[in-house]
Amino acid sequence: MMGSSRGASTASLWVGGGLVGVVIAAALVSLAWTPHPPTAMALSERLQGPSAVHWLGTDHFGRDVATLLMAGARTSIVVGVIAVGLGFVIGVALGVLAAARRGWLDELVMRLCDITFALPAVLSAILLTAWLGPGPATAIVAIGVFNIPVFARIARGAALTIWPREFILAARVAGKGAFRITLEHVLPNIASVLLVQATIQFAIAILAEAALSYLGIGTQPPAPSWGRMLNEAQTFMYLAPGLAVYPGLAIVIAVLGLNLLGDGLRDALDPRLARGR
Amino acid sequence: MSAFLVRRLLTLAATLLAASLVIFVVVEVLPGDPARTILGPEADPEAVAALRVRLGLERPPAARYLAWVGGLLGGEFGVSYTYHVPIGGLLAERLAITLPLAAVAMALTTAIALSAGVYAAARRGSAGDVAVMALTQLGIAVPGFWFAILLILLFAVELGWFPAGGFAGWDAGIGAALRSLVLPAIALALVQAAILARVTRSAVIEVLDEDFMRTARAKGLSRRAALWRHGLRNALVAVVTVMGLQFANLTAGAVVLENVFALPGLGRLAFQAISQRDLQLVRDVVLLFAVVVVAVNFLVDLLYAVIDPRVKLSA
Amino acid sequence: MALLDVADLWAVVEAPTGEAPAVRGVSFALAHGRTLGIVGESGCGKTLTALAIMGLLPRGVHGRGRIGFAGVDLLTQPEDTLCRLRGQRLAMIFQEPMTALNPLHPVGRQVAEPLRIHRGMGQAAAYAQALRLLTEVGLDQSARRMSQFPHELSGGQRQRVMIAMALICGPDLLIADEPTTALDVTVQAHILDLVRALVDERGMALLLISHDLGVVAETVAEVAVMYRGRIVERGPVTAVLGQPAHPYTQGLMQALPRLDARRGERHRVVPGAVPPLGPPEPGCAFAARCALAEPACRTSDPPMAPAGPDHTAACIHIAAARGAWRP
Repeated sequence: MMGSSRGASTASLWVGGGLVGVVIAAALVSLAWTPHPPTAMALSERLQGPSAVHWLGTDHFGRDVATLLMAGARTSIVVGVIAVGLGFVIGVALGVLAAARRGWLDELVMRLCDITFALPAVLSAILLTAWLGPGPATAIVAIGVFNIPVFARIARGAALTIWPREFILAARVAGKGAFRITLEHVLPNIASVLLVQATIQFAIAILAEAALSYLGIGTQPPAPSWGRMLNEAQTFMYLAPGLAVYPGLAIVIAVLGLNLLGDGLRDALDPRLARGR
Repeated sequence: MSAFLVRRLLTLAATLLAASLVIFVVVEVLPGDPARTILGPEADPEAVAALRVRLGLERPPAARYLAWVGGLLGGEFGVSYTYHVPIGGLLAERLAITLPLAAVAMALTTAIALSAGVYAAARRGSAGDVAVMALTQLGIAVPGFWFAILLILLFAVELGWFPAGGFAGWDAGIGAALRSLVLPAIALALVQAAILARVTRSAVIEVLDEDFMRTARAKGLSRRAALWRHGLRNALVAVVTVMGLQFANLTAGAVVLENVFALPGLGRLAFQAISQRDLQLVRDVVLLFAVVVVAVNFLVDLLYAVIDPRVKLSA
Repeated sequence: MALLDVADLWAVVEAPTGEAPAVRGVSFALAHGRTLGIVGESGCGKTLTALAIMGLLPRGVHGRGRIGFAGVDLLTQPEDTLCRLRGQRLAMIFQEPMTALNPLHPVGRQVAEPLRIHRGMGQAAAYAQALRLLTEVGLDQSARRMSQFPHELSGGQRQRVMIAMALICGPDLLIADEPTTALDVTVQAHILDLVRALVDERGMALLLISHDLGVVAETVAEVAVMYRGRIVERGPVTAVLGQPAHPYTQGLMQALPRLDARRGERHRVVPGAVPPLGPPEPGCAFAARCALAEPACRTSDPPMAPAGPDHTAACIHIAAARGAWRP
């Protein structure tokens, strides 16, 4: 029983890592080389099926779908990394601060998290669009803001389990302040929990970016984006159903890979967490 | 009425009050002048100023907040700047699509998730369990709106069983109206069902290890009967918590899916109201979303008390 | 013929490193109306023995050997036969009545449930009988308590509910696994009195599992002492506890707190601890903790040998052991 679950967690680590690796590789390669130029339109070659020249066919502007998918990976990763990074830095800072200070500050941070959670994230994103206008920045801010309370809660919860430990007591007796203790002892001890959560949040961010771009309030044309491609594909669904399939598959590969990677990391980094699930 | 119920109702009222304040402030901060929205970009500045006074926009924010909330409490929602119809009727009309959609999706989610989760838990470690876990992992990774497009491709474009979008209207008969909700509901339910199935599985596995399950078996109940009579209700406590959260996710997902299927529901209304800068409508729609979420949380709290007799004491 | 006839029972735990036997060739018999106690430290396999009889071994534990009950071997019976026997002819009460009762069902319903399962009784009839039995087991205000939930009862009341639930179909064999361990001392005595009285009155056989020699001495006529999955001594309670023949039993007796102990005399414990579960090694399982161990003890497992009338022990120095441990 134990043996098989350990085997499963190693498998998720490898499969997840492999899928994520493919997506990252596609994004990196697209910086230097793509099968066709990403914005090259050829109206004479629009809505073609897969062929030796266009591996996955062409879209309604005659752009190469495989090229767009590779470039779209770049967009997803960039938006995801910045948005999750934003939420991570602010959220973790708030969380460990709340755990270190407790009292009214803790209460305030947690209530703010509750309020952010109360509004549906998509609605907040749309509200934000009314303010900032559509664009990748809007998507990044909307997703990032949604990530702040997630990381704040996780960081606070994990930090609270660290503070009562003996080595913290020893550090306090040695005269170290709350800031230094947080930096030197708390953060290194909650890093693995945060890393696992960041992987999962990255997956959610990719889904969110796709949804926002699909709605037309995220990445704007001509910048390539998986969500945007799906929006355009829906219009030509009757003529070229394949166009509506590939970008979705790309999203599934990225998200599935990140989720599996997160599960595998959780089991690998902290067996106690794995058992708690 | 029990103290438990009174306490929960008070919490509900306080949450809604806080939500209305936050929404009011956010909409205040949003750029855009309702008077200009009504009169158009080329309107005479004096006419705009006059309209602002007539609409009460020159009053202090506190007075406007009170007027808004007071109006809502009195059932007076005002008139939409862009649709030129009473907002109350507009919301009711849109809610009549979004609420059934969310309800059908939730019912689907529950049916799929409970059966898959219980099945997997009862056969922990078997091939069936592994298959369910793999499928749910996949389900979580599929974007709802893409799944919706695939459903349209298969069931609307290829097979023609369901409409590809739009809403037949309740006047067209319940059958026709529900037919336009089937695909959106399935698309909405997929991700939530995958998540809930995983939650159900671990909740049931946890309950199966409880002492009272052994007692139930010692009474002579078969494994299956013990699970149904004693296990499920105990597992439901965890499941219902997640279901409450999911209903909020479903309403959010409805915003996207109503756009995929061109369903004139609340989500699409919110989207359109914001893009048209109809701020009064935005305020009311967003608050209505909050009301739905808070009301569902209230129902979940009541369900807890129904499921678990210990809740009343600890509350 | 004995009601319960356990012969060479093994319970094997599947572990990542291979199989580890937790019960190793246990044999005993129990006739209608007789009472047997099984004592030993935790981890000695006594609870697994009880669960094997009920057919409720946890996941990953397998029973082997023979468990004869009323002429059939329970280990070879199909699951639906076992379900018919459990709760009807075989019943069990557990250590922790708080967690052993379903927190979400009223106690009356839980007590009546076996009647509904096995006798197909309607709700009214089953509840009426449950109420009669709850009154009989001494639950005060039983009528009102029928609709209460486990968390609204005290520990003693909950254990009375457990007992009523186990007895409601009139079983032939009652297995009580540490029935008083989780209770206050004053309540313990009441529950033991109740169990003893009910067993006498109904002519049930009782298998009492306990780590507490005092509880066993008060409640049963015969006792089997288990150590590391084996029965190491068996006989009438008076003989086994009065004149323990196995060094392990003697150690357990020495560990009992005594009211007549002289001031300053140290409370004694069996030295060492029960070793963790693992593959069996040759020799007497207790040799590692035994003061009398000699090389012979480590090469072959001693068989049960007579130590008195109906009294046997698995030790090669039965006589010497007595001398060595007599205070």
